[in-house]
Amino acid sequence: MTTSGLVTIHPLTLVPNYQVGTNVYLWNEKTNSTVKFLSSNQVVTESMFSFLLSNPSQKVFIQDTSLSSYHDYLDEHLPTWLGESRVPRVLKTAVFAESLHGKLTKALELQSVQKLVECGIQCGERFATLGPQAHFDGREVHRTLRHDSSFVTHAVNTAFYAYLIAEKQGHVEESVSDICSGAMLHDIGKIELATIQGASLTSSEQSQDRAQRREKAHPTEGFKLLCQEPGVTQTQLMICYQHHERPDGHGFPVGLVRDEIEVASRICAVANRFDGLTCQREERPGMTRLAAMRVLVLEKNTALDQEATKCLEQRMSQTSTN
Amino acid sequence: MLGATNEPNFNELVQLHPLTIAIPPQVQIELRERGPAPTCDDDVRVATRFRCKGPAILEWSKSPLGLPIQFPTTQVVVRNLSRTGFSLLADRQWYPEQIAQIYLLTAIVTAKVVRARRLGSRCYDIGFRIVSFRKLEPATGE
Repeated sequence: MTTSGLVTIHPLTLVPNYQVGTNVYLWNEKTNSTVKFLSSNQVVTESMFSFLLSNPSQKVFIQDTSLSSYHDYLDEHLPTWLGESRVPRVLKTAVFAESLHGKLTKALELQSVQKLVECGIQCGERFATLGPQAHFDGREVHRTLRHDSSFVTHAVNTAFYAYLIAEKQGHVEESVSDICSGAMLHDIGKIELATIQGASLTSSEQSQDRAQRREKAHPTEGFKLLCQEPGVTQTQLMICYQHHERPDGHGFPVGLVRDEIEVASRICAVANRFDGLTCQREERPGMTRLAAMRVLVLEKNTALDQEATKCLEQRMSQTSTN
Repeated sequence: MLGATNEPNFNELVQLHPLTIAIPPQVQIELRERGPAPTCDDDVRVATRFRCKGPAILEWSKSPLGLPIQFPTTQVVVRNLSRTGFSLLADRQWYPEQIAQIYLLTAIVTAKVVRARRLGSRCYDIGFRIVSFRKLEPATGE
């Protein structure tokens, strides 16, 4: 069997004692072809996991048609998987991010604000409950995340950076959940601009004038969408409404200053800016982590909250131990 | 209070609710001007607004889900108005989709917040879209 119709997955995402629910194939160097490693109804054994662990360069595949069920499998077993000490932290970060990416993409496909909000809230809860056991490291997070400018990637990345800041600031679990879910949903007002297959947030087809007007309107539009949904908290609403406010009062839509902006919104503003600088756009490449941090430091106290910026700076410069 | 049978007239209402807005000097100058009001850069309007300064009493009647607020009745200042909307100066920020009853000298208007802009500490420009409008009898002032 060749690799046509197959997609690679990371070998260490095959958690012992669980069914992946799809056929898994290995690349055989000798025969230059793939061989079936695991059937869809088979459980991954400890010996299989040990084999994969001792052969980290082993290429592992699933059928591209099974990608959705593979995402379901990752999502279902994420808590177990994050607690597996033999799995490298960087991989935990990657799978956690991919799991959120998959969930949000599916929710977008349903074209329902309610489903999107439910998904955002669930993702926020995941950050709050699973984040502490994953011990995310800022530099690894930045290295691991995707950096395209799609709606989904931006939502996931902003939530990740907001999590790093909120964790550093010592917010309680409930607050972390609210902050991360708010960050996942902060650009919901741009929903009309986003398409499922990774459309850029700044489409060249849009006239610049119209795009600018939409950019200015999206916090209010997002607020109007979210405030109709049951279960949305005040923190989530404010993140959506205030994530473009600036401490110097030159933000939008209201032009609030300093402490008038909610703490959660200030956190999300920093996270949003950092991802905005580091993502790849049609008109420019993404900045490096260090270059983006330099911009953020220059903007603290004018465009960005000083404390939140400092926290992200610390998370991005220190390497924590697993 | 405002719905009571023996409710005070408009002037008494204004006296009962002292003005707590800190109107910045440049806005005070603007309030003395008359004629069509310029459009904000991010504000799409369907009808021309005219500058028109005057007191009003604002009573909040509905707020979106997830946004629990108290509903104090406050005195506000009408800044401009059109046949579809108007803007007020208030001492605090209000949020889109919140609905209020606004008591003017000659009318009671039910309106929805569409935008808010900070003009200074304790001074916000709140843009409303009119939902319904009831003219009062000039003789009684209701």
